Amino acid sequence: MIEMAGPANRAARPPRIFAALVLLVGAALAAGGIQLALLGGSLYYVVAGVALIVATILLWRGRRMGAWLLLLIVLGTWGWAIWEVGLDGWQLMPRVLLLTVLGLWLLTPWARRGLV
Amino acid sequence: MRMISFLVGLFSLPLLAASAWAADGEWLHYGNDLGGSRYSPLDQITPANVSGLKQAWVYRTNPGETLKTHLQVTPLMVGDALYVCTATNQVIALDAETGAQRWRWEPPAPNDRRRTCRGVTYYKVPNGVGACAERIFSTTARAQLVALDARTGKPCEGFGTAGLVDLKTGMGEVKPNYYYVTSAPVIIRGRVVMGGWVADNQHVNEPPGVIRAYDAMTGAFSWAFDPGRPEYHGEPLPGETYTLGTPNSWAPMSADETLGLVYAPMGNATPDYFGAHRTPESEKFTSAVLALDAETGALRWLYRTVHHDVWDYDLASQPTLVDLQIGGQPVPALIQPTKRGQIFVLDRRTGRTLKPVEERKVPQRPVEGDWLSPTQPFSTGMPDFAGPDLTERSMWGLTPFDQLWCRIKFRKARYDGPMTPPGTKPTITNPGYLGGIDWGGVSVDPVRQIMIVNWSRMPNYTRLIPREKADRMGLKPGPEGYMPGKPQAQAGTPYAARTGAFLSPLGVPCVNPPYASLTAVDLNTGKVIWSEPFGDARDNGPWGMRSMLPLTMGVPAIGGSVSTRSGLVFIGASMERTLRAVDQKTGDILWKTRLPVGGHATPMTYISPASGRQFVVIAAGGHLALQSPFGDYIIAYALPKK
Repeated sequence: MIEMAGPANRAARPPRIFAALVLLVGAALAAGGIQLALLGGSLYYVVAGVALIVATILLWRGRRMGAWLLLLIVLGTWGWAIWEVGLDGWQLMPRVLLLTVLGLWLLTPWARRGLV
Repeated sequence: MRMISFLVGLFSLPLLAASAWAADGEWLHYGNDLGGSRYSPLDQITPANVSGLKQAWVYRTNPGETLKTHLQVTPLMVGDALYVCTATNQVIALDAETGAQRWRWEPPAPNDRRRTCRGVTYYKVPNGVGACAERIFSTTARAQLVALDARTGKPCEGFGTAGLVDLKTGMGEVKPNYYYVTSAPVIIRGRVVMGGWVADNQHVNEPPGVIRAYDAMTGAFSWAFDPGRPEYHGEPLPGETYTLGTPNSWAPMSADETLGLVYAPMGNATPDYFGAHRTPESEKFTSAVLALDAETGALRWLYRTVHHDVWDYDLASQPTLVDLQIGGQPVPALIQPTKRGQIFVLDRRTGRTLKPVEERKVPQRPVEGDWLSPTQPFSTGMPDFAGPDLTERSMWGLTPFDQLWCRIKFRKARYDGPMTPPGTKPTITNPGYLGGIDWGGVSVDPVRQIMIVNWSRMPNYTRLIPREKADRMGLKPGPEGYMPGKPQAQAGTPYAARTGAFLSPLGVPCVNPPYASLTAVDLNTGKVIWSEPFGDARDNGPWGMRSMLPLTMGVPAIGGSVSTRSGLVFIGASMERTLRAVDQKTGDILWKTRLPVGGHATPMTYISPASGRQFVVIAAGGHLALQSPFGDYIIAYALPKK
């Protein structure tokens, strides 16, 4: 990959719009996830939601660690989803599609530019 | 042994094929024969040439009108004419070759009421000549039975009053839209026999569930079977009525001319979701199939598929009559599909089970004031068409958000497996009120002994509302009867009820696909031959939008199939707007064509004498409960002329 953090890109800002989006996803999953966990349901949603909120804070500050955390969440989500439903495409869709798209966005130059 | 049965089969083939079905390619009854096999002995269209099918004609029943409900008819084909009924009470004759209208009958009263009409009934008067020697019977939204001359469409003068018989006689007060006949009557031994539909869940003591027979020549009353007075077969005395609020029979009936029996699939005494007030007679006949003497209305036997039904598991499917090979002997059988996804196989002479049935313990703890049967019958000798039990993991959604919402709803609800009773806390009813198997029933190839089943997997989310709260919500019996998604009053019981498909906020099912499957069953072994998710996702999506995704999902479906001698299965039914031909052996889709709207009706097939060609016809009419857009199309397909 091309080195992005050179002097020419010093003005690049942290990906804050993206971070705000991740925050919305994380907050929704955490809020619903707490309710589900209290009802004796899956713990995945609250764990993923809180992790996404932490990732948001890191991304907001322009920390590359945020991207790594998001990657970990995406991988973890895939692992959890396959454990729950195997390789059934229709069942995997709601579980992995959105977070995978968010993760892929972080691989683009525009997203990476603002991270150190 | 195998060789012997092969030889026996070889010789019995022509006998079987010749006996029950019109040899000249007609379609004389709703299910082709009186036994509702939905089997056609025609073999001009085959697995090899079906891909060449082209649209031959389209007829619109109500062009330019704003449709308020669905067209659900399976036409009859007699001679060289098709006969159909519409949701707005017209009866229409069409040229079987061209689809051109021959005649059209409009009901005499103001035509302001709509209803479902699944078909008309044909009768040829023995040794009859002149007008009305051949008759078409239909019914109207005002609960009248009409006899029309099949040639001209004119009402038969000698039948009832100017061709009409008022079915409200003896029914007590019948408010508009509370009682009419939706399925085609059956004719056996010169009598027109029918039950009727009643509005679901409005109040106790709705119109009677009585089954009645009238003389096919004169329209004179012949007999009644009143589930509240099962020994009395006459009309009510002046000032009296048939018993109100009894189980009714709205689904298509079957009949056996040789045995002289009518087979009536029964519903439950509405309101559906509470039953403490029901009488012992209502409990006896609820969700049962009855065998009635065609000449007297006397009950010969009954088989109940649900004890104390509080789930709306009424029998929606026509009983299918077929002779099964059991222990090397042909046995006259009756196949009763159910919304529960259990298919019961009975000896139609006696009502005894031919495949094992187990009374299994089911969830208890009824809502306060009601009671439950400790066990329910499960047809363990046949495959199950309810799908796997639900778990939190089987909750679905388009996104993680609505999936999470569904998981929370699942955890908040009571779900103890099949037959979880309704309560004031939400419960999940699986299968829901669309089945399992709904009014499309099954089609059976009696020669190969193969049954084709299209079945749904769409749970309901149900909650009872205590009367005090229901009163505060202003819930009253409605003039329109059933409205999808609206709470229903159940007036006269301690609870109103709110139920409907268990959907996410995006309007997609909360349970994972497939929502519909098509399955072939070997009736000899009771084993599944093949089973496939049924219907692509392209016409489904969030909030009723069309996703355009050409992916096999198994989208919701209602409607029946037709099996043919040549080894094809024709079926619309799916919310994917298609008619398709499926290979009976493998389940492969051999041909598929787009319909303007969902074809939620059972197709039929015939030979047109004008060209000698085999046609396949389906009504594309949409569906109210599926929220599948309405249409008024009757569409015919045939192989191009050579």
